[in-house]
Order: sequence, then structure tokens, then C-alpha cells
Amino acid sequence: MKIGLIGNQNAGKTTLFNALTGMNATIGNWPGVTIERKEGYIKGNKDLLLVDTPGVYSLSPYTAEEKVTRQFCLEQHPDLIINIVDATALERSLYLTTQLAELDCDVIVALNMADILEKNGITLVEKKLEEMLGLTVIRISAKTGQGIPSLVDAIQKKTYRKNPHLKIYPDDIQKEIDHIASDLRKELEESPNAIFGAVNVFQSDPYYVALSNTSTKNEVKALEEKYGMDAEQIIADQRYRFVTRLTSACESRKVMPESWTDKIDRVVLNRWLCFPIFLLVMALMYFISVGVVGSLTSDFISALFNGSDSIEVFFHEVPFAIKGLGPLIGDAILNAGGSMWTADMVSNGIIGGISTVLSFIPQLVMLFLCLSLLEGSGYMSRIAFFLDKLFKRFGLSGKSIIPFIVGTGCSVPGVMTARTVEDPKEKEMTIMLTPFIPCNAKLPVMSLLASVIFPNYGWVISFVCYLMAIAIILLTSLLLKKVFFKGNNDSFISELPSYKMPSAYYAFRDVEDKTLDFLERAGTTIFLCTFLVWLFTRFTWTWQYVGPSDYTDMSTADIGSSMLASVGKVLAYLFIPAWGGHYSWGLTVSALQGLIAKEQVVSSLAVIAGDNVLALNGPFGFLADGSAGAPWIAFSFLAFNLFSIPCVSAVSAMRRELGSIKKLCFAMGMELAWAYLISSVFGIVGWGLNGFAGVMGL
Amino acid sequence: MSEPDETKHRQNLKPGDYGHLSDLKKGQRAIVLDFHNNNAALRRHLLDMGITKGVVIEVKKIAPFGDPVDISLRGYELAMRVEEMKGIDIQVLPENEAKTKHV
Repeated sequence: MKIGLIGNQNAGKTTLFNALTGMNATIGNWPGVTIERKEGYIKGNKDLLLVDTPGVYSLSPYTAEEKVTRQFCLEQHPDLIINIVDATALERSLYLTTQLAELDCDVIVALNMADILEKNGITLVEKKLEEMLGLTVIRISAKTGQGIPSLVDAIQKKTYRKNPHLKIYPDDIQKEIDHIASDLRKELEESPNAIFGAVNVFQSDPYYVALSNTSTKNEVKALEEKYGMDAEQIIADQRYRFVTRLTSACESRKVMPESWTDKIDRVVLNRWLCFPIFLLVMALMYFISVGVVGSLTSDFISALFNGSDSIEVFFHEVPFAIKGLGPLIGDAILNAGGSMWTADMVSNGIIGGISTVLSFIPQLVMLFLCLSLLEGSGYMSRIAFFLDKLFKRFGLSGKSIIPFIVGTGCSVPGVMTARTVEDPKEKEMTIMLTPFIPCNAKLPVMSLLASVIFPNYGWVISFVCYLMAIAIILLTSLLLKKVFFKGNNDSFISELPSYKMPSAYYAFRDVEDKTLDFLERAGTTIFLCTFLVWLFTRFTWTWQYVGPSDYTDMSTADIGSSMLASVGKVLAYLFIPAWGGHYSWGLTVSALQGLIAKEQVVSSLAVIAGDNVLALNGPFGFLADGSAGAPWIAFSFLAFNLFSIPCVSAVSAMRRELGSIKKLCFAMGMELAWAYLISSVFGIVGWGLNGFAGVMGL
Repeated sequence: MSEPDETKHRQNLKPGDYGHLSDLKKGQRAIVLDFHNNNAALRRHLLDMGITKGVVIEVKKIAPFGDPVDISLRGYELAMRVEEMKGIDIQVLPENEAKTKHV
């Protein structure tokens, strides 16, 4: 038996789904649009398949969610629909019920949020509702589990009412609809849902008009004139009239004193307080996840795997001498008579890759937890609410701010939080723009180069970088809005839900889901790419090992003859303008490795130039030789690293969230174009200041 | 549907005055007379959300910078952008009149 779970957004659908299935949900694949569809069996009933659908207010064929849910109703032929209804917003919720009741399918109305009805001053007589609606009505609370056994019982024993197809329209309209319905039954042999179809023919739904030959134009026109509105309005109006008759008979509302939600909103949405509160919440979230958890764990985890003498805790060096798993196994391999390249591969290639993935995890978990709590409490909707005006001008949503802020820590969770943006266009733009924000891993590059660009005022350089990032984001979003994402943005029509105490249980489940997801999807890509970088920096085209002769000391390697270096030697021609008239395969290779992971940039420079990266007689001396152009060229290298493709992890997160290789390529192309453009401008200025001397180093 | 008429902001609407939903101040209530909107999907969405002729809408919260606005109708709340509210014609209702729905 196939059962559809259908209801408004925020009606508690997912909670009920999880309560019914016991969380055995398998997340379906991601078709084009990123809308999850979950399926699962009702606990203890291997024959009752429950299908979760996107939350909708109507079965009209306009938004992506509506299309999916409507398609499910019409094409998947569910045997039963559980219509979950938010009992605190009964009138709006029952509107969808009137549409579901037109399908040739039985419907159970699950009146959710029974636990907070009283608090909201609402009394409901569900028996009366059941009589008037003709459908089984069961009062539940998905959160506390109240009423769920009776719901399951009704499904198992099939004690629910048969759908009576109540006539809800005035006689003249009803007559027309019945007429179309009987035509449809004759016309389309394989067409169940004749009443639903008839109503849609009546209001000129494009899908049904194309399907049927019934000519009803004149009759509909007469009715439109009589009612003084068009057919679409007539139907919506009549549905709501029917619903209002129900609610006024079954529901009574006491006038309540100002709710907690309104009181909190008076502070949170106050003109002067909204920004300080928002900044405080964000700073706190960032501090806890990246500042505390991140700084406590990522060095530590890296030390466990790669070994270290000391780690940094809260910006203090703490002695922490450990050999690390990588060197331990590496030495074991050497002692057992293994070759140096095997030890290098296991220690730096494989274990190094695993540690990169794992070092992300603790701060990601914390960040996901904070975000889940923000979302569950209802504050997230407020952020979007008050920032919407500002961001709308750039074709973004108020919610885009959250990925951007999270992105200053790490682009991966940043890109993943873009999920909370509802409008698909705004969401895609947010995903594409988030990686421009300078993340944690770009800081070492910044601090290395700041010293030569603007000695003693390194922070000015960081500040300029953030300003440039903001400028690029705004410019790009305007450009995208004008050129690629033309047309109106979807109107911001969403609910401002009541504040709720977030459920710890569901928050943890949410975090677990997201973390496993990250490990599975991003993790494998990061791991593979780290391994590939290892491979291409260790071997020549003829597979000769040119890696370090001591795998724990990279300066003993001959990177210059590796495959990556030979690629760099070709590409270095492209970068002559960016590097201010210098042909430098070393800078090029380091920048290329930066596309895989920004952490690699500084270490790659060090591998090529030795410990003193910017030594005047070294290969990168031209960045620090005191010539007028040198700071410009150094900034050009910095800019390329800041604004190009962030890293493999971010790219894999982007691929996952964009759900399309084409869009991913577009985003990466855009980032590369910006990076190349900006760095070439700075590089050419530097070249000019040095008098456009011929290309050096060729 | 009538063409979008003059949608400029009218201030200080009093009970009985005509205007657009976007002209209301916080706490004011009005009855919807008609609406015009060229975007079929959006128009349909407004209908689905219960913004039909004769429904009573109260402005509950206005975002700190004036847009969007949180309105209350049919026993629930909805946030929408001022742009869309300009297309909804209303008549302002007296402040303390018991909530009656014109059905």
C-alpha cells in the first residue's frame, strides 16, 4: 500500500514522517532541482510504504514543489493520502484539503500541533469537522507522539472513511464541473481524478486544457461575469468559503494576550537592535564552532595523523609531541624493507588525505548544530526577514548572509547552508558566490604575502582582501542577475513561524545526517584529490619517483621534474602577465595546487624554494626584491589564490548543492575568470612599474 | 483584471479610506477589494494563500527597513514583499471593530 504524506510547509511533515517510519528514511536521489523526497515503511508494517512530499499550499502547477507533489498525486497513484494539517492555521491548511479531496483517493486528515492548541486559545471539535468534511480526522501531535497510534491503527485496519467527494461549490458552478467531469471520464479512459481534472479545466489549468477537448468556454465565461471574477479566482474563493463554513462551525478562538513570539519579535526586529543581535548571534556561532571547537580540534587531529611537536590552542603554542599515525606506519614500512615511495604514499598520500577530511569534522558538527538550533527556533526566518530588502537589490535572499558568514570559516559548510534559501535562483547564486569569501585556509597565504606588500601593516591587506571579496560578490551578483538569472525573483512569501524550543533530539539527528552526508560525498572527493596531488608531484611522466628521499622532509624532493611541474611549466606562459612579466613555474604550480586545497599553497612554495620562501636569491625573490612593482606582483599572486576556485572540498559541496555539472562548471569558470582578470591587472601594473622589462626567467 | 493603477504610496489612511495593502501602518486592518498582478504564478500563489476578495488582513510586523511585511489573515501569518502588496487594493477597516469576515 502506497501512502502519500502531504501538507503545508512547516506543518510538521518531516516530524510525522520520522515518527511514523522510526527514522528509517532513505533520502532519495537528487533530480535536477534539489528537492529531497523521502520514502520509508511505517514502523512494523513492511507493506505500508510512506512517501514524503515537498510542502505545498496548493496543487497548482507553478512552483517546483507544487509540481513534484501534484505529479506524485496524479501519476504515482497513492492508495491513501495522509493530509497533515497545522491545527493552529486551520483555515489556510484546509484549503489544500479541499483539493486533495477531489482526487480519487482516500484522505485522512491528521490535525497536528494538538499539544499547542490550548496555548493558542483554540478549541476544536474534530468530530464535527469530520462530519462536515466527510473525511476521517485524527488529532495528533507529531512532536509528542500523541494520537499517532490511532493514526497507524486506522491505516492498518482501514477503518478510515471512503472519500465521499463532497460537493463544495454553489449549484451553478458544481453543475458545470460535474459536466466537465463526465466528459473527462468518457474522453480519457485511463483518467482517474475526473473531478480534480474538471476543476482544473474549469480554471484553464494549462496541463488539463491541453488534455481535453471539452468546450466549456461559454459556460465558464457566463459564470465569470456572474461572479465578477475570473475562473481561477472563483474556485479559490469558493474553496475558502467552504473552509470558512467549516472553521466557524468547528473552531473557536479566544482573544489572546500578546504572544511570546510577538514580544520577542519586538526586540529582535527592532530597527536599532536587529543588527547588533544578529551580529552577536553570528559571532557566537562562529566563535563556538570555528573559534573554540575548530581551533581545539583541527590541529590536534592533524597532529594525531601527521605528527607534531606542538599544536596551536587558542592562538598559543602548546607542546604536543607525538609521532602521528602517518610517520608511525611510514617507519614501519621502511623497517619492514618497504621502499621510500611506499612509505611516502601511505603516510603523505593516504593518511594525509584522511586527516584533511577528518580535521573538518568537529567544527562542521558544531556549526551544523548551531544552524539547526537557529532554524528550529525560528530565528533564521527573522534574519531573512530583516535582511531581505538589502539583499533583494542584488538578486539574493536575506538568507544568503548566513552562507557568507559561515564561509569566512570554511566554504564547505557555507555552501551547504545555502540550502536554507528557498528561491532556486537566489539559492544557486548564493552557492556560486560563497566561495569568494576568504576562508580560514587562505589566511596563511595572506599573512605570508602581506609582509612584502605592506610591511608592518599586514592587517590592512587582510581588510582590503575582505572588502574586495564583498565588492566581487556584489558585482557578480548584479551581473548574474542581469545576464544569467533574468526575470523576476520569486516573491518573498514565506511564513514567520512562532518561536519554538528546538527539539534536541531532532537537532542531533539533523547534525548526524548532514555530517554523514559530508563524509560520504565530500570526503571521498577530498581524499581522492589529495591522493592525486600526491601522485602528480611525486612522479615524472615516465613514472620515475622524484619524491623526497626522506618522506618526512619535503625539501628533499625534486618537485621540479614531476608531472605537475611540467604542466606548470606550460601554464606558466599564461601567467606571465599575472606574475608581472616573470615566467615562474613555481608560482604557477603552487597556485594550481591551491585549486585543490588552499592549505597547499604555502607548503608548495616552501617545497620549491626551501624554508625561506621569499629569499632574494630564491626562485620567488622577485616578489620581495624591493622594486616598485614587487608588492603589486605579490598582491596579484595573493588575489589569484583568494578569488579562484576555493578547493576540492568546496567544489564537491557546490556540485552536490547545485545538482548539475553544467552549473558547477559555470561557477568554476566564473571564479577562474575573476581570479585571472584581477591578478593580471595587478601583475601588469607591477610589470609597468618595473618598466616593462622583457619576460624574466624564460 | 484592471491595469495596475497608480500605485504610489498613500500615507495616513483612515478607516474607510481606499488604498493598497502596502499603504497600511503596523496594526491597521483592511478588507481586500481586488488585486492586479501580471505574474500568473504569483497571482495564483496569492489566491492559494487565501488573499481573495473580501478577506480581512491586518499588518502585524514591518521589517526594520520597511520591507517585507508580516501580515495576518485567516488565522495565520504571512510575510510578503511590499512590491506585491502594491498590487492589492484595500479599504481600511475601523481599528476596534470585532473581526468579521466578509464571506
